[in-house]
Amino acid sequence: MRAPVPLLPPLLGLLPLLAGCGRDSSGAEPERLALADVVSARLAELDAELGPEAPLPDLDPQLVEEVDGMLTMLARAEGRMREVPVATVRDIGPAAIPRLVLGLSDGQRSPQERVAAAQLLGALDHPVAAEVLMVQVEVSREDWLRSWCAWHLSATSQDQLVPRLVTRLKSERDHATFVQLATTLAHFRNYAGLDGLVDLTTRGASEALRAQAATQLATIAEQAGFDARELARLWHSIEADLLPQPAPSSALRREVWRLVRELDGEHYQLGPIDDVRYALSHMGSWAALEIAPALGDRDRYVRTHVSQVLARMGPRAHATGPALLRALAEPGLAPDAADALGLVGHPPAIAALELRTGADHPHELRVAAVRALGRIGLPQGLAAVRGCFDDPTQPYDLRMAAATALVLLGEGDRAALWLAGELVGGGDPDGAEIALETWLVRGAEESRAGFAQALEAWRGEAGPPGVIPTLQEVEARRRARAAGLTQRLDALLE
Amino acid sequence: MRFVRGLGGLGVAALAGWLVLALLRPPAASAQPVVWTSSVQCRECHEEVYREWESSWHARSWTDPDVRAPSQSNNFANTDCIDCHAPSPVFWTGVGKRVLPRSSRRAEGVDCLSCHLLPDGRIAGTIDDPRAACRPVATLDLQREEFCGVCHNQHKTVDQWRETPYAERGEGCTTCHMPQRDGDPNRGRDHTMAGGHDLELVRSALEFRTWRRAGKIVVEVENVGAGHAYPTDERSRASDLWWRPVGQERWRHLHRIRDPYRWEVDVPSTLLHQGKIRRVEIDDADASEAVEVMLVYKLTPYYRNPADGEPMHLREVVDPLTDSSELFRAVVE
Repeated sequence: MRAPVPLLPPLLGLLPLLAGCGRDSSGAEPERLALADVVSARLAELDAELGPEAPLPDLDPQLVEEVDGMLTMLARAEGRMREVPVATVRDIGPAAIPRLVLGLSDGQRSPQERVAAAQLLGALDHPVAAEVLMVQVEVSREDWLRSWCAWHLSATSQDQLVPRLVTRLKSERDHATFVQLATTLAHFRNYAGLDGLVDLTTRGASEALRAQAATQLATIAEQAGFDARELARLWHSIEADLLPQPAPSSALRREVWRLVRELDGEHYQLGPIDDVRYALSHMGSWAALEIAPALGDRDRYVRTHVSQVLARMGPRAHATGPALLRALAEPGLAPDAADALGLVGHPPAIAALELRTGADHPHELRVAAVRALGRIGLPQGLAAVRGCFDDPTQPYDLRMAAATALVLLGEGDRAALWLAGELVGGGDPDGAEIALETWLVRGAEESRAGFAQALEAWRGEAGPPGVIPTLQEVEARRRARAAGLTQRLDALLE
Repeated sequence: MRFVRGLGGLGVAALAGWLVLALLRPPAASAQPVVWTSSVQCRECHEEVYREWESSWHARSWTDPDVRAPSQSNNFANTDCIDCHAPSPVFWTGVGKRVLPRSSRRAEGVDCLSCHLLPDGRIAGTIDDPRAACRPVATLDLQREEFCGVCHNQHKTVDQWRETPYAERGEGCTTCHMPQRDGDPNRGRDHTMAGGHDLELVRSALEFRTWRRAGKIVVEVENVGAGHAYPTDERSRASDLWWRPVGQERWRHLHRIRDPYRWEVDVPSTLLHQGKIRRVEIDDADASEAVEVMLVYKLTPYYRNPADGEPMHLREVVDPLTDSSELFRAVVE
């Protein structure tokens, strides 16, 4: 006689799944975005607003000598005498630009004269003059020239250059130039260079440079009305709106939308896309709201990358939460939107995200939704995350995402044993290692018994700082960590 | 007669049994769609291929410590790296289109599903078989250079290949990097996908020659076997020529073969393109006696100090082999 099929245990096993992973959250369904040619329409609008660029007026031939003379004079003058050539060239106006460009790019001239040309171009505060300085910042091989051109851009109101200045932060190798870039960006109320500036106060190439970075940092902070540490914290926080806000010109808005257009599917190479993502994600909170409508663009690449940009902005882009929530209803965009909702931190999305942890949603979306619930970090998201983790029949990386989310939600104890088992031979030992370290750090911060010692032992296995381990060394480190943690785990979980 | 009736009864019973079995059996026409959540699912039927892939660097694109290092992706905090190190299935974004990152199973790196999963949930393969669990569809696109190019042409590898006789002969990426197993077309292609991490393969692409002429030492490196530039990568890969008088400990840098990253505007590209010869001379008083010359290959463009991991200037390097692999070495009398 055959044994009866044990139906009850599997059915009972389904209960937590029904209660947690993908539980019913009726009413959480956001309204779906209507796709349109958002980017081209916005660009056309801004083009119409700005009109065609006016050509530069010709320079009266009689003034050529005067412009050259002012350049030489500025290079030699001291004190208040320096104001004379600046005022004279301002009186001549944009017509002086081509002559000054010759002075700036003439390798036969002394550095002092070329710097004077940069200063006069900055003093003209004209888009063409600023463009000339920007190109030097981007392409000159002479560190001192890049540095001075970046500095003299801070005398202008040409904020359309902000995204390009930000992009230079990514690639600038000369520390002195970096300081000037960060300072000029702060002049435009963009604080993307702040972290690098803070870093240079201790790791700058020379004592003089470290002092220069500290001085500029103090000046920027004072002008913003905060101390430097608070300024840096605010820039990365949901309170970024408390910082002095820029009044972006239409030219800057057009530049931002031109960059958004660069993200479309027509472009193949990732390098320029990386630069655009970097530039946009290091803009202020105003830019997040500016580009959020592009989540509804017809071009799939634009939608995806704009979502990524908002995710990278993090809490600074928190005001785009409602737009991202609507993007969650767009199947092709939903996983990216879920990731972004987690990173910008949008609690009203919790119910919609919970819904998307269910097995009736695509795997990509389920994983992203679980990850987002962890990052939002509020207890309302716990039930769905627990459900995904507790059910051993769920896909592996969904459980790993849920284990990591549990750590972020303060329930790491629930996942610690499983994570420790995944350190060696698991499907995602890197993920397990990062989650466990976060769990130990949190426990130590909360002064839980034994966590500080466990964290110390864990970090003791890390190997020399800066040295990139081999695969074998990484595996040995994880074996040691797994063994050490397993010994302590019972005590830690008490 | 009873015998015949008995036979008839048996026949009816057999027919009824067959009918019951036929009704109970699942239809053979097509398999149920699989919900793909991991490449581990492929192992059940494709053990050999799975094992090959598992040992490949595609499988380690997410876990490789060099990639995760602070100076590189910083544990993928630099999310730009995810696009190629955990890509969405190529057939989702489109062959020849820009690759996009995926949100799930990132730890599997460039996995089976990255290359084989079709938008409708079926699997791109070499045959059509709707009865198989993965419902494979014969897909020639898998062998197109543009297919590999979604990631590898980000470093211009496919563009470099197009300029070579290999392209004219129709010998593409798979010819060298996914050869037929045991040379047998019926055994399928090798999924270890050997490339820049395989020193023997790298060595086989080059010829290295040295000689003394008119008091100087001449060193030549020729790209004889790579269907693209050597090394084919922007930023990371590099190959260096070093020399030293025989008996001395410290090596001296002679020449670097590398394509600089796009913002290294002051560094020229010195890639060794297919079929080209690079000739450099050692014109140094210390080279009047016997010298050793060595060509090394590197996965990173800088040499790290073995003590603290910090990058060193080429002048500071004593023994390049602490952070590179030897390809060729010769003593010139």
